[in-house]
Amino acid sequence: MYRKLKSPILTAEGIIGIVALVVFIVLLVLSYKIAMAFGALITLTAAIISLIILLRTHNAYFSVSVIGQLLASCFLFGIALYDINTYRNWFIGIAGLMVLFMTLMVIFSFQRKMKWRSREMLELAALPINEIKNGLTTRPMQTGKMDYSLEELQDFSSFIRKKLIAIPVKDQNRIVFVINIPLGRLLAFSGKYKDRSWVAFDHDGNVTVNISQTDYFMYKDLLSFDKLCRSLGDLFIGFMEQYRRGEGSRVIEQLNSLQMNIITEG
Amino acid sequence: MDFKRAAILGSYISKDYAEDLFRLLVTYQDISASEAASRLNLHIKTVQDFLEAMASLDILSKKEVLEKKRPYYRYALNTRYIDMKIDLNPLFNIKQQESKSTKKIRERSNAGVRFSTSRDGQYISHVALWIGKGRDRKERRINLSIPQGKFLFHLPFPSAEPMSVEDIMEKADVNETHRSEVLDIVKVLVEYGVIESQ
Repeated sequence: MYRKLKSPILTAEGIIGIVALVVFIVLLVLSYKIAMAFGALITLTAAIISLIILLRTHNAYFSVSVIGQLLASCFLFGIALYDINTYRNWFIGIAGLMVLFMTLMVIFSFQRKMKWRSREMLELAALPINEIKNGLTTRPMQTGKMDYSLEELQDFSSFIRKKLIAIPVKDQNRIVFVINIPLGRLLAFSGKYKDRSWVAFDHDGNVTVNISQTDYFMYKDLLSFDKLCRSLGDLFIGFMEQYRRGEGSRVIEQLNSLQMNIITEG
Repeated sequence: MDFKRAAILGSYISKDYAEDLFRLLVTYQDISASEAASRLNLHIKTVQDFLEAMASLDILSKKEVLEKKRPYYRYALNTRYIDMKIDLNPLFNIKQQESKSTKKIRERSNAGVRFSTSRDGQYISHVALWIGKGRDRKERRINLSIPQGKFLFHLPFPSAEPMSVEDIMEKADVNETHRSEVLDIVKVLVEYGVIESQ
């Protein structure tokens, strides 16, 4: 399938992960115990990050990730600090649970239950656009108007957040769905969004779209900017209509139909 | 009185010495620049500029006289009443004419401008442009009125089809009474290459 987005690049989080892995391997050669302690710190950090993501997105699958990573952290700390033979039964119990939760984590990852949908959203928005015409601007675009109640908007916001499609930010008179939010801002609970790509639904029913320069240049071609904004707005409007009809699963099917890889976000 | 003449009169009449000079002109039948300058202890060039400006506005009349073959001017008051009425309608009419043009506009591609939205995200609050080149490059920020901001919020994107000012105003729900301020910002942004008109 032809992709309109460029291949994902190595992000800062990816680089940190690779560096941590290299350090772990080097430490493993130098000192087994120190390597285990380092591994424990890394998994603990990962568990904290997963916990924050869980709190921000309310995506329950991340609780499995938090528990799995905490168990891994306990296991590695145990190896670093105690004698395995003395606490053999404890180690077996923790290792068993860890394997169980890690397996669940892998299964959920393959099922895309814990996958951020930013790239899929950008790819879906670009699907109907064939016109190539650079028209980048820093202005948002009002792409449509629809009728919904405040409760419906809040429910939809909750759905979008849980399914990792976007992070909702409550503004003065609207809810802004921030697509492709950087991990740093997510972890810091930052509500800053104006320089990112977002779709806003205000209390009067106006739907406004903004595509950031960073996201726009993720496309292989300079797609017609106004059409791209309109398409992203229509996509969200379509999602909301589907969700209101009780067809939330169709939204996910639509995203999964792109068959993008299960890990990268770019 | 048109705006340019009013501006000349305003700038000279606001000088500290203007009242003294007019007092001399009322008192004397006619007076030369050097006589007035020596009387008021001012520089002759200052007085000459003042008198020339007033003569250009027909408040004074000037007559060339000769003194030992050396010509100079003597100035006399034409009127003891100066009526300063400024008609602003011509300024407005120029803009009204512009609005009637069929030109269609949109944002220029790669205009190098930054639009900032208001807190509620419903209009553009200000535009930041870069002026100059190299080290002399400076940012110029233009704060917008709400109708202007709403108008710019709905301005067609560089890749979109251009629209007429009237159509954009209608789309943005900007009242007709704000037409002149909308046209003013359009004019400025066309000058700075942010908006292109076709």
